[in-house]
Amino acid sequence: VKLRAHIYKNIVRILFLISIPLLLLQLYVARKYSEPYPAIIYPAFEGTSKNSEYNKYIETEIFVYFDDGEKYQLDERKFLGEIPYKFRKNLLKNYFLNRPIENGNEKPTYQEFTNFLKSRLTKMFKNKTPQSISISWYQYKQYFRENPVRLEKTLLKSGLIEFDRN
Amino acid sequence: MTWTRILKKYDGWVFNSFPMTPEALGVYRIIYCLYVLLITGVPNWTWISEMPNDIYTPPPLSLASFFSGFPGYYFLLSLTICLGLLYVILLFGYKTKIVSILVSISYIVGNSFLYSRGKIDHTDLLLVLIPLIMAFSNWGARFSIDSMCVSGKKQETHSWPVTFIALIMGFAYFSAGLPKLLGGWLNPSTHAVKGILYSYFYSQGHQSYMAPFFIKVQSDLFWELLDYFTVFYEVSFLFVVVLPTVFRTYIYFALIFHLMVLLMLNITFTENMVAYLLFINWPLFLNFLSRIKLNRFLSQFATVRSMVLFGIIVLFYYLEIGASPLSQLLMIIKLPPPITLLLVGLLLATLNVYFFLKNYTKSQLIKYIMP
Repeated sequence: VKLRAHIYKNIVRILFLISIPLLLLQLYVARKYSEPYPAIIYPAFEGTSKNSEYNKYIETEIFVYFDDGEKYQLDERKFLGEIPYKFRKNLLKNYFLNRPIENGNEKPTYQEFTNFLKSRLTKMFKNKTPQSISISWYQYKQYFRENPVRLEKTLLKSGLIEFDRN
Repeated sequence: MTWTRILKKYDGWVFNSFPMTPEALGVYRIIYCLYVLLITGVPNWTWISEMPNDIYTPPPLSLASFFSGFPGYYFLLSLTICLGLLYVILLFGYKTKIVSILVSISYIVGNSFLYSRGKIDHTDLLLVLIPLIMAFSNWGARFSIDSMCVSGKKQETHSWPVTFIALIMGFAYFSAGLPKLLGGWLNPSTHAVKGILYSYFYSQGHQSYMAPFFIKVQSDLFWELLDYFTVFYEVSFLFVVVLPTVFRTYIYFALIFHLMVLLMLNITFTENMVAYLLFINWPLFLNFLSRIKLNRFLSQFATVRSMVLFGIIVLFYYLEIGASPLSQLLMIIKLPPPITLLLVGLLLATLNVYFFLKNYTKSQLIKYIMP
């Protein structure tokens, strides 16, 4: 019993000793390559904001067009809320420009995503047939030091996907 | 310093930093399970099956990377039910060690697919790992079905898993602070917290609580101090793990830190609170429980019959309603769940500190601070 207790104690001692380099190693892997799951890491919120005169951010405007000629604006956060913010931005950009998603499939067809959008729209707008969906990216510059705060809006890019073609 | 003295110090840190009695471990196990079952809610992963496989981007080093798409509905439903039932079994302390490990494994499997949507969420990290680590403390030694099976026999418990959780917690904070330190947060010509606030406020619509107030604050000194405080607090968290009393103070500040983050950036981190609970003054808390005779109830509630009954209720509730019961209740009475939870946590922590200081004599306090 005494020997077993001694072995147990030594195992715990070693566990603590090796865990520190292992924790550092997984942090290095996460920073250098990609974050493993699970990993003992908290969000870093990297990057800083220059102490400038304005705050810059990008917003999207999404419209759905129906076969009866009507159109509705969709709130991106509500429409695709289950997809995390940064990934959603990346996904939408690549989807509408027909490019692969970072770290994803190399040659995506986006067929499933198109079907997903279409079925979601059909559920949202009953008795209507969605024909196409458009997206526009706008850059906003907010001059917060001015009174009242001035907002500058510039169109960066836009894209359109027609459901019928898919 | 001789080798023996170093080893003695090291052992003192590993084995005696956060001593837990079998009663304290048993009560903590029950609180942890109730926290998940009633407050955060058992995760329901079934909705992931609706996600299109085009967006399947698992972390390269994860279980999900072995698969080419999101799993089907019935697999995820089984996993959800399995986790819910495992939590009930853990609550009643049946085969505690193996069940604790299975809880963490099920959680990790489900989350691996959940985080295959391009982002890993870090809020539930400790919630997932606690059972896996605490399994080795023998937290089923009291107030459990296991303890009834071996009644009369002294069960050995261990406190080192608590130190290990402290180490993990300290490192997690450190991993958040180090990139900030290296990434220019201390540069006085930039304001990182302010930048995050602007990004969250305008781009992500985080405009609740006190965010509209903070967005108007234009003091450079205020924002720079916040940057400095955040970096210092997060980086130093790892180093205070070897100083139990300072670590406990950091835990108290963590509650204030989360409250500030919630009020300003509308980011919730309430899942951590159950991990912080490990570091309260347990003798004081157990004394309180025995005064209100709750420990007598806890000794009697762990039966197979009550476990089965509770399991059926939990299963029915989560399959029918599916959301955290406390969140539902708070929303009915129009109280925002995360902020209420954090304020209650902060109040309890403050009471814990108050009674601790009140009950201890000066010499006991000095001994406690410098053991």
